[in-house]
Amino acid sequence: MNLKRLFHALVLSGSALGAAHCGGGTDADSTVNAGSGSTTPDPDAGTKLPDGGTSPGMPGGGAPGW
Amino acid sequence: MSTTAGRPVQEVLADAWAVRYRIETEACLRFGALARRLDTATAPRVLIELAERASQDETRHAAHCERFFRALGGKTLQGVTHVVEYAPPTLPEAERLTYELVSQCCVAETQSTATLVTLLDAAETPELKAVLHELARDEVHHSRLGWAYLTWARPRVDFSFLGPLLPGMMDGNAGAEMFEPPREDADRPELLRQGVVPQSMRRQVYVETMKSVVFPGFEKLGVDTGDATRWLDAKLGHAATSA
Repeated sequence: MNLKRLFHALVLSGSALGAAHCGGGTDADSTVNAGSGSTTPDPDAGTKLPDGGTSPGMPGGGAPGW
Repeated sequence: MSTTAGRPVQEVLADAWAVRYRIETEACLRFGALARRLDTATAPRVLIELAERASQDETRHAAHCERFFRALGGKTLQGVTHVVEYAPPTLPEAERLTYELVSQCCVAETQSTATLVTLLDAAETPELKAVLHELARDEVHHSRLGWAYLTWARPRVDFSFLGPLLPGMMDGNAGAEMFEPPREDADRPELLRQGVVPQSMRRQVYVETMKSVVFPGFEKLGVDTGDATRWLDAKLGHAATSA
């Protein structure tokens, strides 16, 4: 895994997005050539969530990842 | 079915997809709530739309997780239908919203992206590779939402509250097993090509991602990482003495 590329694709591109739409910051140039990904909404999106689940969350905790 | 040490491989894989199903259903609800709160906070439309789209993405991801779970013979699957805020309730709304976005996007989605990229490189079937690619592509956007939000929020929110809270946030993200000695059945190398990062490798990916992506991102945007760095060093010290 190329961590430098990941930093560019996530942090710098995200920061540039924030700067471009929110004013302030000059990061846009540093994200040139970072991965862009798709921006097309997926037609399968919107499936209903199942019934009968649980309620995670604990103040001071954090969201789980893969 | 392979039945080396501990549980059968198929059971380990099914359990992993069940956990992921919970993670995705939880994330779906959290992103939906974040979209509404970003709207209330008068955040730029692009951030609100990213959160709305992420919520839809996670529903689709959950369906993929369920499909793999069922294909492995999994029977009982429990999704998440309600979520409780992770942010300490004593914080003002702007700080709670920041906490939630940092937890979900900057930490969890960044970590998930790194894990998915690792899995994508090793996936042995076209179907698995296609799904991992789809998920990784989406998670990139979910992570970016957090970094974009921090850039927007920086002139509006004092981030000094966040540094001391990062260890608790990261502890919740890492989970109970991350720094414990790897379980033999969850650490088999063959899991990697079947879509699950072996436990010891998972820790390595986590640590590298925190040190090379998340912490530098925080520093760049004015979030102090001193406490988080000390937390990670302590966890790694514990892991070394427990091995």
